[in-house]
Amino acid sequence: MSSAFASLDIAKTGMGFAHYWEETIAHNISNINTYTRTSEKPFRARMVVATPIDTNSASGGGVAVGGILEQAGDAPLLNAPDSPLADANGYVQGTVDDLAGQMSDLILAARAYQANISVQREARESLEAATSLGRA
Amino acid sequence: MPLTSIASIAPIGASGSQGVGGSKSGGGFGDLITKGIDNVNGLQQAADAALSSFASGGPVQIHEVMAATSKATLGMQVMVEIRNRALEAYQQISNIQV
Repeated sequence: MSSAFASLDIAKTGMGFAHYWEETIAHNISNINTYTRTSEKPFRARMVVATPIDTNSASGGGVAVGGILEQAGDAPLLNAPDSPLADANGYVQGTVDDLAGQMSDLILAARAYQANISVQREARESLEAATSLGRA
Repeated sequence: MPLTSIASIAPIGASGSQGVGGSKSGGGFGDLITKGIDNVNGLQQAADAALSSFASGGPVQIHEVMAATSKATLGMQVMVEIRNRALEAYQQISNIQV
């Protein structure tokens, strides 16, 4: 926490993470209808793993993307014999993805971004106020 | 012979150069100011680089640009404030009646 702008930098990592989270949600929502053949791997929603940055590091803390996980579970089989992707029994494979859950996560991600913007604004205003200390 | 006598003068000049600011090894107020200006300049250049990279579609995100410009603004404000205080102190001294 040595730098004068540590709080700005830490808030920046939060915004970066929220931004990456929003990108991942955009990927998941855009692939909500990505059906596959039953012989192929289904589309699975990607989930971002947050990991804290050591407070003794150069940036003084914050959050980073620790990894990407794919949503577990079985893909639903849909009966669509007319589909060019259908197998011999007339099934196509759906996605392991949940639109309602993704929309909820999108709200969380947008609010996380806003919260970090608030932190940065408050930090900036505090530093600005400090420059007027002792002014006549 | 005259060459050796010139060499012996040098250490006397170095040890005796204690100015008004008490700057023994370049650690005076002026040095501090110069370092501060360099830092502020670095912040401005970082903000400029981030902005031009963002404007030209580089791998930089908008919040990084805003953070860099915030830092540059704050650094500039601190520098201007210190200049004002230093100038104020100088003017107070120069207005002393004798």
